[in-house]
Amino acid sequence: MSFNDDVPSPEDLAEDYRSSLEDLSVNSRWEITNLTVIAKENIHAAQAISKVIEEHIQKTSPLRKLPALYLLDSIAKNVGTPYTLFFGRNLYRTFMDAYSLVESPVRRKLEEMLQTWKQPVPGSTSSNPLFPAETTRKIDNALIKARTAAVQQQQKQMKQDNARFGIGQPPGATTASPGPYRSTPTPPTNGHGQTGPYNPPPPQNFDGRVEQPVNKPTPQPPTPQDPASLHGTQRPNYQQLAAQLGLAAPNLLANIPTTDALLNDIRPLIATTQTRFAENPWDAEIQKRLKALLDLQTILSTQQLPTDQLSQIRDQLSRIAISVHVPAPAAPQAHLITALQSGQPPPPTLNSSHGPNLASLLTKYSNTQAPAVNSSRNPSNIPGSTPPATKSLFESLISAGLLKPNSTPPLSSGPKPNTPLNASYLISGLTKTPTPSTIPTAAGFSVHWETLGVELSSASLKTPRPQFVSILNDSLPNKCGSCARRFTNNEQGKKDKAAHLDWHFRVHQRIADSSKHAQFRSWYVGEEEWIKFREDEDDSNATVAGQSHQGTDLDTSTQESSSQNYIPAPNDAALSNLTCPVCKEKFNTVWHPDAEDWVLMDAIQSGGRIYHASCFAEISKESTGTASRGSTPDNSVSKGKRKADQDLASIISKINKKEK
Amino acid sequence: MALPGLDVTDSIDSASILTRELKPNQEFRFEVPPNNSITIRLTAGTAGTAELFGTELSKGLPYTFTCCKSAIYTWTGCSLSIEGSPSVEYIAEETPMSTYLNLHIALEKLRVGASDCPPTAEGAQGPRILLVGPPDVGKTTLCKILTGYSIRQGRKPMVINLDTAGEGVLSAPGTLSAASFGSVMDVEDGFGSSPMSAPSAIPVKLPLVYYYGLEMPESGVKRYKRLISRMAVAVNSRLEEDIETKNTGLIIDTPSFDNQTNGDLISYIVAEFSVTAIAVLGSERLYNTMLKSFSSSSVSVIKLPTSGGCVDRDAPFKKAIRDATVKKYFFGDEKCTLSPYTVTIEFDSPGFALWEVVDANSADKNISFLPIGEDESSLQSEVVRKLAANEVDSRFENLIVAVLQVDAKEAGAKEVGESAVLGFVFVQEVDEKERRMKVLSPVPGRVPAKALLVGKWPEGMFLT
Repeated sequence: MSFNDDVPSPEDLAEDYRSSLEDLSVNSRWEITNLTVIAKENIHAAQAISKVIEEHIQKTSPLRKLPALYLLDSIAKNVGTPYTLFFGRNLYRTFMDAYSLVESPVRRKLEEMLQTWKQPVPGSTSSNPLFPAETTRKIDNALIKARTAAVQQQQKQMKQDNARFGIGQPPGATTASPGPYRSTPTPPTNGHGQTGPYNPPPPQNFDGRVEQPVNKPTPQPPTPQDPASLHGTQRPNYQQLAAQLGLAAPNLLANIPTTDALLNDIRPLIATTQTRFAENPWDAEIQKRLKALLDLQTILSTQQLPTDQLSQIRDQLSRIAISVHVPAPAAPQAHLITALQSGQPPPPTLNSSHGPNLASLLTKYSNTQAPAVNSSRNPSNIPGSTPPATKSLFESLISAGLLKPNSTPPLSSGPKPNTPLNASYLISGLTKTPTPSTIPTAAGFSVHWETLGVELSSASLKTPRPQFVSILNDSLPNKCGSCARRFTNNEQGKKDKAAHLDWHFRVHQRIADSSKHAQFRSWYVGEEEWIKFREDEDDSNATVAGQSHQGTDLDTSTQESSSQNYIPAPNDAALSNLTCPVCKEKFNTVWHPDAEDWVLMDAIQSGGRIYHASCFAEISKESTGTASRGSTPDNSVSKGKRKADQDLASIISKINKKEK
Repeated sequence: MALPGLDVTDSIDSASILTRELKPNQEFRFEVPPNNSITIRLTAGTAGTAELFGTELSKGLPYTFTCCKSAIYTWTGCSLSIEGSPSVEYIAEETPMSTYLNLHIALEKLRVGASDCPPTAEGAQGPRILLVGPPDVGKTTLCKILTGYSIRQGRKPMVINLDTAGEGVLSAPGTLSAASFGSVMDVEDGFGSSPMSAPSAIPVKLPLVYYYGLEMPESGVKRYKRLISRMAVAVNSRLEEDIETKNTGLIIDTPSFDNQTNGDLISYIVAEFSVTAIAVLGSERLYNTMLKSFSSSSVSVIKLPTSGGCVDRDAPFKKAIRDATVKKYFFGDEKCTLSPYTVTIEFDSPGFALWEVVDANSADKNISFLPIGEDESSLQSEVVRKLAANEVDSRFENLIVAVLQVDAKEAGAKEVGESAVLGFVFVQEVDEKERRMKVLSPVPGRVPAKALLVGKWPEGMFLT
């Protein structure tokens, strides 16, 4: 985005700004800062920009309203007038419309932000509040009414717990509290990284007036390092892992722990532990852990726990998950994706020192334990280890008297037989699931098709044959947890599934990336391409084949004549008419079947400009004076070619990633 | 002071989550109106499995449904939690699922046999099943179930949709399409989505699409047949090279055939696609007609019960579904928002050629005074008609126009009449004076200089 040359009209700016806003999907400090700076640099278009922002807040999905409002906040605080004037006019509507549509954790954030609006801008010389008092008061009054209604509702439903513990606040929301940066053109990122969330500047008290958010005591969320250090382990924190993998965005949605999510979390852990148990049946540590997990699962699937306790359980689980999954060196992507797909959220906001730990939680509920069905499923092929971090859970469970390593199960009130902790107990827990497929079997499922007495005739089809259900489900028993795709249980199936999980992982990443760009429907293919097309080139096969393709394509493309060069056609409509700077002719935009994209044929990009490859070769030749462009290419040629190759490579990798 | 949504969100956790426990072989049926949506989860702790029209649900994942009449079936028993309020919801005990499963296993048996044959042998051809029946008997649903089941067993069925009146498969209404399904289908979205620039959590399927542009095959039998023949050639060529799909065979969904006059068309489809089995749903009469017609051939004709869950969908509901399909083509859905582009097309540019689908009823007027013995087909040769620039007027507004694979300049009526489709544009505004129109194009950049074909189906709609 460059605004350096001539001054674009406010309409154009607003349009640009609108499209940038579409990309603002998460609370990204970097993006919000960027948009703030743009707004500041184009103050002449303030009215148009503020209108665009208001419209965006109005129209965008509830999940995206918070970042958009934070942007409004950021512009108002960092740029000030005239934006505050324009925003102030419709502030009530903008704020309340958004407020009424978002979920309660976001509402709380909005309320916090509103508090800051009533105060002078930190660092400013003026003592006037950011927005006029009558504007904010109007909002306040509406909120008080709403809150009263909500409280009545809550009392009715005995849901005070949620409010007290502030469940669902994204972690780290207040950890990085940057100072006000009004005077600097670009706010300092001071080590928080560009992907960190944006925080509205906190209220500062210039006249000794302390204005606190009124509705709740907020427990101080731990910094991301806290949970790990508390337990004396240096394992990388889950949230950091997720952030490194660029998966912060999906996690934002998974902040409220639910029983289902926790069960999802437990399942892969149980599966992993079962695998370990199968490998080392005499390892008491694994036995203990498996049993504790199974018991926890039982409790979760039979009891309604309050949300705050759920989030504590989740806290513990995520720590176990990290220690189980991270140390395994092989195929880390597959492990991570398993963990991520199971809805593994970042550590919750509660500091361990605050609430009761898992042991006491379990103690509370062990007395009322109801009958249980152990529904552990899908033993996966993920190897695990027994890291020290898990010990704390089991030791605390044991010390709480909930789990005795050598005694009967604690859930004695249930009808489950009080079997000593041994293999048969654990297996019996597993076999309770109705589908035998959950038992890991090395042998494949075989059906004697020729003996099946079903024919394509109306009479034969009428007879119910319940045994066919198992043919349907158990031919391929190894099911993917996120899309229910099935695989065989043998080595090949495991390999395929691991590749499939990798594919999920890549797609998740790409989905996270893709929300930044405008996406569109592709054209359909013609008959000939369709006939040659194969759907089975997804997953690992595609990657392997793709890499080899990539290699050969790159090799040949450097050798091939320049007419083979192409670059993806620019999406920007303004660029679609661009001409080659050398011959002043337009580029030939065609649908490239291999790239599955519109490309400019015979084109290469160099130094930010696009040339016809042949023209570019010509001028490079002239500039160097060499007859053969292949023999001693000058710097710019090789650079240009390299760029073209990179583009090509990115196209190819894009194709390969694309599930066919 | 009314705050919409405030009270609702605070109570949503407990009040509006329904839990439904299904016993084995029961079906949870629900209907959601177009302006509403519900979220269904297969409870994470539940032991059983559940499937929506053959495609399995993953435990704990939320599936959102809007504007549909659908059902979740379980072979094992399961527990579902439903968020939101469906307009109709009940648990059904009597379903034809065991018959459908038998059908699948019978087909699978043939596929196993086909896989055992050497690839070039005659026997390597998997079963090709044609689903026929009156409207609203569950043809498309059975098509989904059979497709889902064969995918679940690791097969790659080729699904062929010849039903132009319905919502289309991987494309707009009014199209014929074929696609090989090598990966799971979308629980929320039926057959799923055609390729787009964005990544998709459910693998996209690549369809071969032809635009027929009329609701009923009868309105333009000649062109309908030509498209079918053209598609059959492509499908057969594909199967020759794609052994997995060849072994799995075809699943062909058809428009509603419920009377004698369609017998000819059914025979035509059977011949073109070398159909090996015809499954008749919900019409004893059609079944008997089929039995008679194909008694001498090797085609198996079977009768299938129809599900009690099949309900007549009224015209507005069907229209809403069709409009939603077109809207999804251009704008994507909640999971992936797409950005179509507004593009101007000049009528006078050399790359512009707009053709119109000729419907038999209008053509009839021209041939009503034919000499006896004159072959109808020789006269009604025109199945599509090129429009002069001055014929393009506002009646085309709010219609979709197919961008064909053939170039605008060289294409004659024959090529246009049977060309596959590159994509669709939506006509927003026709400016007769300036001789240009504004269209919504799915892909950025100019609309390629391909022949454009406008039909009468699907009807006009308002997209934005």
